[in-house]
Amino acid sequence: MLYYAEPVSKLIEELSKLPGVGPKTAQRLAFFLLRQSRSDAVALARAIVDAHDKTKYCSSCMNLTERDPCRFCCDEQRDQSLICVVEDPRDVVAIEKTRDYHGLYHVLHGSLSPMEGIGPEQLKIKELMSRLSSPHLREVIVASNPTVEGEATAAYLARLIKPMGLKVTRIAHGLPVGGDLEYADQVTLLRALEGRREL
Amino acid sequence: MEIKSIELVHFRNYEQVKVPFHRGINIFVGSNGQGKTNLLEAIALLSGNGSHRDAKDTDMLSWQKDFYRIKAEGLTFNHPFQIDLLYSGEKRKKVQLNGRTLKRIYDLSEAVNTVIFSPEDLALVKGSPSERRRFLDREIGQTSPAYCDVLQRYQKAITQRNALLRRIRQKEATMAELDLWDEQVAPLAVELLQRRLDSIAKIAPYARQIYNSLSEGKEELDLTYRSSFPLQYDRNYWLDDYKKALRDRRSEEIIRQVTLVGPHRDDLQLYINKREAKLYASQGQQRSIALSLKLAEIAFIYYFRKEYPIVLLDDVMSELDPQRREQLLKDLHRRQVQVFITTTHLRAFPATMMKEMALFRVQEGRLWPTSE
Ligand SMILES: Nc1ncnc2c1ncn2[C@@H]1O[C@H](COP(=O)(O)OP(=O)(O)O)[C@@H](O)[C@H]1O
Ligand SMILES: [Mg+2]
Ligand SMILES: [Zn+2]
Repeated sequence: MLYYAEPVSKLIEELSKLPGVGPKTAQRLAFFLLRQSRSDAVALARAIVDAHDKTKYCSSCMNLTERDPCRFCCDEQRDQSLICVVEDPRDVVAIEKTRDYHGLYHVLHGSLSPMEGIGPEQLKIKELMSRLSSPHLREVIVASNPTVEGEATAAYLARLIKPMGLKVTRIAHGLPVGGDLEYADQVTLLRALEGRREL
Repeated sequence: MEIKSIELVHFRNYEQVKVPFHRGINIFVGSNGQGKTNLLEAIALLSGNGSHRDAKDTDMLSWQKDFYRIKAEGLTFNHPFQIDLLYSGEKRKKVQLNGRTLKRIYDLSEAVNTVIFSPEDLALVKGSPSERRRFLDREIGQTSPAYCDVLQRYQKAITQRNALLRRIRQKEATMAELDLWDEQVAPLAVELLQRRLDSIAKIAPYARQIYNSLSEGKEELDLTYRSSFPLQYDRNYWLDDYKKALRDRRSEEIIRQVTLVGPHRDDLQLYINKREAKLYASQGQQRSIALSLKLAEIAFIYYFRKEYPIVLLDDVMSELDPQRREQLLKDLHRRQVQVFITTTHLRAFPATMMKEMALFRVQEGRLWPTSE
């Protein structure tokens, strides 16, 4: 870093804080940005600041939103008897793309991970619990990731919610539909075999 | 199973090389420090279970470079395959098999299996339990991606649990959270245990038979799995057994801030004529045990796959007496196993076999076919 002008080193340092960006990539990105026009640079900087300033967490489902409550929580057409719990706002987008789920969401903003200091307190679990008294609610679908952390989170939620008399379900993990069995990787295929059901 | 050619770019001390291989025995000759082991390491990486010397990608990347690449072409069950490994500084390297990007690198074992013999194998007998666990994990993992998956998940769960023990010690987390992680760890631990025991039951008779013939019928080798906690005879109770062990050791674990029981603490115990090899085996016996285990690994892989793995012999020819050397090469040759051998001089090789071999000279990260 010694060799770069101070503002350039600063830019590289900030970029290298991004996930998946190491020092080498950060340098490449920095010099790419410097070659761009000033107006491109301003547009990027403004987009970042705007995204920050103009979004907040929905006070009900904790999804990122421009206005509170968010469009899912406002929409009375949606099935109020279902809440699908996900780790991340991106998961909401993924599930919405199916266009076949019409219930509500809840975003935890992470999964249990002692290594990163994330316990139940650090996730939006209290906020979830406060929604469970709704008289319409019948089922909580846990759609956390199929990782060790995601499974631990799912187990934690089940333990908390089941005693309240609500149905708690876990999404199935298996083969992508329409994909050929032949192209599925071996572990995915194995999990699908384990999750087989009777016909 | 056969590797037809390999190309290395910025791998260890190789700037760039591409070489075609012989379908039988390939010998790399060169003095020390020229890149022979590096080459075997690259071949071993093709089976998707990491460097045999446990090196990280950053260690294998040539100094001052920002990516390394290993490409290989070969045949498995007479079907061609292409492998492309690309490391360019991220956490994980990009792995392609036949043009398809693999989510899990260990799925490469679908195309390539490798068994490597090296002077460090002696540590299998005298070294710490982690050496023997690594042997087991590599061996079982190559025959079962499911095993690799469970192992990775188990290791992750243990890492999380250890972090939690630290936080509990510092009063930053609760016992209820520990219950939760115990529930996550336990089924993975039991599945690993079952798979390891099943595999040992398969490999032990091979190792026994091989050792017995190496010792000319005079000695018996036994393998037993030593679990870090008491197990009942009936497997159906193992989950309870493990949970009980976790409960019993809990206060100690919180003080020491590590998980003290589970497959990551187990051992594969080796006995010669009922005496523990770790304590009693002579240098010669240790060599024979290590050799038997590796040969048994070849048989084990063949048992599951019905195809022999690729065999890598790093500097071990001089460790064997001439008779065993010739016997080993003849056996491998007869079974049509592709073999890669490193050596500092050719004296070690039976002249009769020289025409079945391809010879390469290795010098300062360069490699070329040679005839003497
Ligand atoms: N990441 C690396 N980049 C460049 N050279 C390396 C790297 N790692 C090891 N080497 C070099 O490789 C050589 C050792 O090669 P090796 O294959 O172990 O030798 P041998 O032929 O004795 O088996 C040493 O000269 C070492 O400096
Ligand atoms: Mg060497
Ligand atoms: Zn909302």
